[in-house]
Amino acid sequence: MRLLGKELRTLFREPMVVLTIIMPFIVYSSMAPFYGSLAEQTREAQRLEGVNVALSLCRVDDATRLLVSAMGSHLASGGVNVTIVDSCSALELLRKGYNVVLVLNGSLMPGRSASMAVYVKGSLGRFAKTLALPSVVSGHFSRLIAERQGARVNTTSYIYLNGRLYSFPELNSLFGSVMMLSYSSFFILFPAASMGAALIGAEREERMFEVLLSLPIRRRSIAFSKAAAAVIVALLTTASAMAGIYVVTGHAGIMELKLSRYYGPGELGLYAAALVSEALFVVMLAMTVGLFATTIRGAQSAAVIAVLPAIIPPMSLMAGLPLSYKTALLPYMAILYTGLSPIIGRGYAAASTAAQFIEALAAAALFIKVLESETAVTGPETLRRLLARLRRRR
Amino acid sequence: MDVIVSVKELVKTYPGGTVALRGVSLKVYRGEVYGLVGPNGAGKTTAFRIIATLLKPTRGSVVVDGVDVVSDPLEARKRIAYVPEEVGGYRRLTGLEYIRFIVSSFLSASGREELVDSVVEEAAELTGLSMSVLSGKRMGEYSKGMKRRVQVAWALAVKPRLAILDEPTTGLDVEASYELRELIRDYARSRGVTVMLSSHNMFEVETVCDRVGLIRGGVLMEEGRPAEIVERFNARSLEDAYMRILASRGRSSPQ
Repeated sequence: MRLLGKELRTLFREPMVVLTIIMPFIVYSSMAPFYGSLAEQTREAQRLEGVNVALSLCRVDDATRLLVSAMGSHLASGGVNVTIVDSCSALELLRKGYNVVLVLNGSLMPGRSASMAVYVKGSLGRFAKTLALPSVVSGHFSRLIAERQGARVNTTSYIYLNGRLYSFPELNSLFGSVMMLSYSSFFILFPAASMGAALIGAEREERMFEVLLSLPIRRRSIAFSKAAAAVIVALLTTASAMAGIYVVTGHAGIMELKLSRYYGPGELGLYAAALVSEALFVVMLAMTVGLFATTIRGAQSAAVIAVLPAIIPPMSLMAGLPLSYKTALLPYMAILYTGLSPIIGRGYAAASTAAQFIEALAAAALFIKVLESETAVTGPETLRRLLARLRRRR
Repeated sequence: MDVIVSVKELVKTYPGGTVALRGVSLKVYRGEVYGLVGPNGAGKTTAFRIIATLLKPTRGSVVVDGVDVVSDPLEARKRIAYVPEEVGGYRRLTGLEYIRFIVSSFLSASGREELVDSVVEEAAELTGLSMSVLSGKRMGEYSKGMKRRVQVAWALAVKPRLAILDEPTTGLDVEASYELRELIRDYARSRGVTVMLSSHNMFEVETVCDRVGLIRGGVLMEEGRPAEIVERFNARSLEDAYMRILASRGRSSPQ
């Protein structure tokens, strides 16, 4: 028991061990807002609350018209706003303010066949709801038709988003690609923080920092050389993770990823720039935090804890991104906006990426400033003194 | 004689109020080996860190080879090779890779890139380590003595205007200490490199240094050639002289 006690004390006094224990909780709980938002939007779609449905009956027989009217009344009694219109132009109806347009062709009478096209007006802010609505609406109608032993209905779904009409499978696949690219924000965060902090922690642990700082090398050269090395490794780690996901999703058929179809060289270039800028931003912050640690592990633990909470807001926005420059200019948002660039265009992505580069340069300026100060030499001692003072106050 | 280091009224107070230096003034001349001697916490490392541009003085000035280390630290660093106390080494690099990195960083800053190969070769030779160890083993596998030798070797081989060696033999065994002392004394004297070193070891400074400064509690108590100090205090050795100085000025620290 004495030996067990000693081993446990040894482990629990190691910051990395404590971090290993709490990290899964932090990581998974940081995803809660994303999954919470997904679930909430899906429930909204299921209830069809506040949805204006237009039933377009431009090429149907009278019997079908009567049947559809009855189904419309049924839906209306459930709180859905349903209007029967004669217009055949779904896009025009969507532009008029309807959220969902159902275009029926053919006859719904028993033994006959018909086609049903569901058009949904999408919203980037409610992306999960946008993707859920077509199947909810078509499911409702298919069920009502089946209850009345009506015709076989062939259903197709379209989503009108940001001025463009997508087929449902196309947008679903595009969203899969967006999700995958957005996840890279998460993947690059930890290696970038860890590598940046390790490069500073190693200098202290190997007792080389004072030699390095006394060499006739500009502080900004030290900062950017270390940052470049950390960014390269972080990018390689992220590429490896992404390639793994690509292989898994491709093999399992979970998502149909067609990156080259949606992302041209411009979009991919912006995405790469967004990745680099996020990595640079995180590395600079991690190196600044690392200046106060005496060991590699201490620096890594502190850096990961310091940068981790920042990922929670973008994670919560993945289920629906507001098209706002205010949001786009925040750190960690560039990857989301560049991921969505096939839908929203390159403007937001470029602005978001440029802002993130500026933020990374600001973080670099902070790191260089600290590196030029005495704190570069006395960082751990300064922190120790500060903690002692806090303890005394308490 | 040319003055290489001029320290005037140097005061250093750390945040929190600890006073490490209380008006230290000294001069080091070209080609001499100057020893700063004193107990732990005397202010030796703080003084060296200020001269090496790593810390800023609270008051006073330091000029190295005509360059003020506070107002133009980058220019000062081109003139100074600094080996801190308890220095290690990049454990993933071989000794030779390390020497090349340091030497090329140092020489390229002063526009002497063409000398890199010859200086690396010279530094490698000064380490006294075989080429199979220097190029075949990473520094993580080196003993403390080997690491220290690599550090002192590059610091001398780049022929800086000033080499600062903070307690270069602390923690080394008798043999390693002896070899390092020999290296510092012989190389500095034969090549005219100015060296400032610190030590607790009175025998070491007596045999290696041309002049010594005795520091305690951030105050430079005595300065001169070892033999002069010994004679001045009618002592048997520098150690004896140091103890007499302490006795005459009170043993308690000024702090």
